[in-house]
Amino acid sequence: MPLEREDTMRNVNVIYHREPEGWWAESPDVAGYTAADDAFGQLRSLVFEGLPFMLNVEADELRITEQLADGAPIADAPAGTVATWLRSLGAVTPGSFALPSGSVSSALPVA
Amino acid sequence: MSRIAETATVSLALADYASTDVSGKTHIIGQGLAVIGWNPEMGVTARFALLIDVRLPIEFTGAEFPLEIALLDEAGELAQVPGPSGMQPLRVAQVVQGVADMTRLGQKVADHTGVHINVIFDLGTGVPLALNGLYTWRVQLDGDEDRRWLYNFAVTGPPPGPVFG
Repeated sequence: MPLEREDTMRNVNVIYHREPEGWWAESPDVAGYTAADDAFGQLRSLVFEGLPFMLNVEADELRITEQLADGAPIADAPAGTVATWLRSLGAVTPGSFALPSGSVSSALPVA
Repeated sequence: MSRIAETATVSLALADYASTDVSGKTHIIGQGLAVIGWNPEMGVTARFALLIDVRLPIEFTGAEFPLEIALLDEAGELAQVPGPSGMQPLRVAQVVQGVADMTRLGQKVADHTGVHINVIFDLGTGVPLALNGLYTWRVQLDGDEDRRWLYNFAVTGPPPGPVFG
């Protein structure tokens, strides 16, 4: 009987909330978990460091999906193609309409 | 609420086509669209690209924040587009990080030119939007709901042909 590889990844959803003084995060999949910081980038680092520690798993054993409190899913594609944004949403499939492509660039071009 | 959103200079544009090269330059064809054509055979718009240009003061070098894009309908609500689970909003947030090239340009130039983030959203085969629909792209930065940048556009084209049989 063939062995099936078990998916040992644990899925955790994280929701980021914006407040006047900064950001905080929670997870509906991890009871009692919250983190806060003035800056979004710092908070995100706390989340990615803190959740594995809290759940006592390695970081690569966690599949963290993120969204803003208004429901917008976060897709992280630094300097990559924007297609991955909508692909991650599942909102865009070849059956509906083709994946958009594009880019995110923070380089300052010089003539 | 957000210093990033408060101090950002954001411009939006629609074009027939746009792409960015490795140096960060944007190459645009047909910028300035306010009306997008519609293909009656496919039921989708003509191809187009959304360009988002964000400039920030140099103090935000290295800052990471979400840039949220949403498509709104005529009523200002989230427009619904076909997806695997039915109609769903076209809305996504991307974590972006502003970079100023101080090494190459020098501190003085970098201070003057600031942080630049360029996002191109190329919808190469169109989007299944409604014929004669009025839509708006909305951009928000760093979760700030008090400030938003909007770009209105319309979808027009020939009416669908008759269906026989």
